[in-house]
Amino acid sequence: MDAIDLKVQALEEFVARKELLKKTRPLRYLFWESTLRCNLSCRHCGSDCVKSDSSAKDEIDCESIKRELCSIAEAYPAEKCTFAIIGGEPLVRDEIIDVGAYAAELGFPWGITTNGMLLTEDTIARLKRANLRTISVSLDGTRRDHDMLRNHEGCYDIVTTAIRRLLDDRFFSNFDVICCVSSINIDHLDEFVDELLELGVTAVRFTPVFSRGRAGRNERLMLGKPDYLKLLGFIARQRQTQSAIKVSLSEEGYWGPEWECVVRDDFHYCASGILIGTILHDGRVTGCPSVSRDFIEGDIHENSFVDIWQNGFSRYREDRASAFAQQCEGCEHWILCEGGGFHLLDQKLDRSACCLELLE
Amino acid sequence: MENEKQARPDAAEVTSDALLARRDFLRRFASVSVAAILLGVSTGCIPRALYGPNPEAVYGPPPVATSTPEPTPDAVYGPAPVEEPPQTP
Repeated sequence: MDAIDLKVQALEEFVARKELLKKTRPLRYLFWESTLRCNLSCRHCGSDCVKSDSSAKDEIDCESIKRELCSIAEAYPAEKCTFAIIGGEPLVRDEIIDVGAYAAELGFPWGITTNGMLLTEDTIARLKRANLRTISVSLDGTRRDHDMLRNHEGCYDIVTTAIRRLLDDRFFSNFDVICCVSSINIDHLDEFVDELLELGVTAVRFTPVFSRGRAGRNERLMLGKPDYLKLLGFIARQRQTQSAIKVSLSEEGYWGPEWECVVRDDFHYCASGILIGTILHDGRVTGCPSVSRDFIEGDIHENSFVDIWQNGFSRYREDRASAFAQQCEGCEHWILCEGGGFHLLDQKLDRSACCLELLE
Repeated sequence: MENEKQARPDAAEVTSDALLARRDFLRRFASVSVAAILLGVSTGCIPRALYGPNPEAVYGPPPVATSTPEPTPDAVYGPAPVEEPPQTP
């Protein structure tokens, strides 16, 4: 059996495993979009976060989330499911730390994704006491790029101070930086990685800017084909040459044989609605926080998350091909790609989900 | 309860012609791929990578950073966001 045979065998196994997972749907990642409120108003935000409290009235209360966590822990092994609290900016809602502590008591490893602006020494101490297991902090490039994209002068200094606090504490071993790559910062990524190395950051994930929310209304930020190639090449090269920092592509879809298993550890796999479920800020349930709101599967005001997870989500699982028929019918890459990331599909906008097209 | 152990992929769903076409595609994919694709990962569902031997040969030289004059922040970064209510899908 030669090297190609071995790869084919691995891919066949991968395809078979994906089919199996559609049937078993073991919940491995539960997002809670705790709020849409945010203390920043970033130019490249992929959601519709707001600085005002206008959306607070819709937020699901913490007791309801705790009840859902309890029933999930009864139905599934909590220790295998990461509970990820996101926003908006989750730390504007102070009580989320208590929910995290409760999740930890039930056995869930839990984490947050934050812009870092509220990571004071006191908050970090509270997160530790609540047994936070993972934390991702957004930093979108060098000082100038970050401050401009975040629309807040001085933001870079605040966030890098917070990052130093985390790095100084061995408790936060599962820490990484997330960087949204847009046309603004793509030419400064080498410099940015050097800065991360100087800070002592050991992992960074690059996410291409996503045409939704505010970013979707700001065409100047979008990446073109040369930018995508530049980004993929940059990440691949960093992974070859950097040993002190792990550089990866995050979230995006399927990039074909030249890039898969090169720009990240794992082969592309969109686990939305299969391994990953989300409770949105208002209680609606979906696959991932970024998927189109056309793919809402229920609401915890009406049914429990477990009930929705067990009886809904057919569009994410067995009917996935139908959801992507318009874009993907007849494409031979389907068995590996399956439409790329579910969040890239927007049937109303007739937007292609195809990353390969971006590279053509 | 979690039913990982009960379910199995349904091989009968794939016809023999489709199976041949699929194998042909996977062989072409594998012959282009510069990464070794391995089995036996922690989650059991996603293969992991080994990297190719020569990054410069595969990916070309590093990109050269370019810069252009930037008259105003809004002209470069797009308009600063205006506070607006959350969209109701």
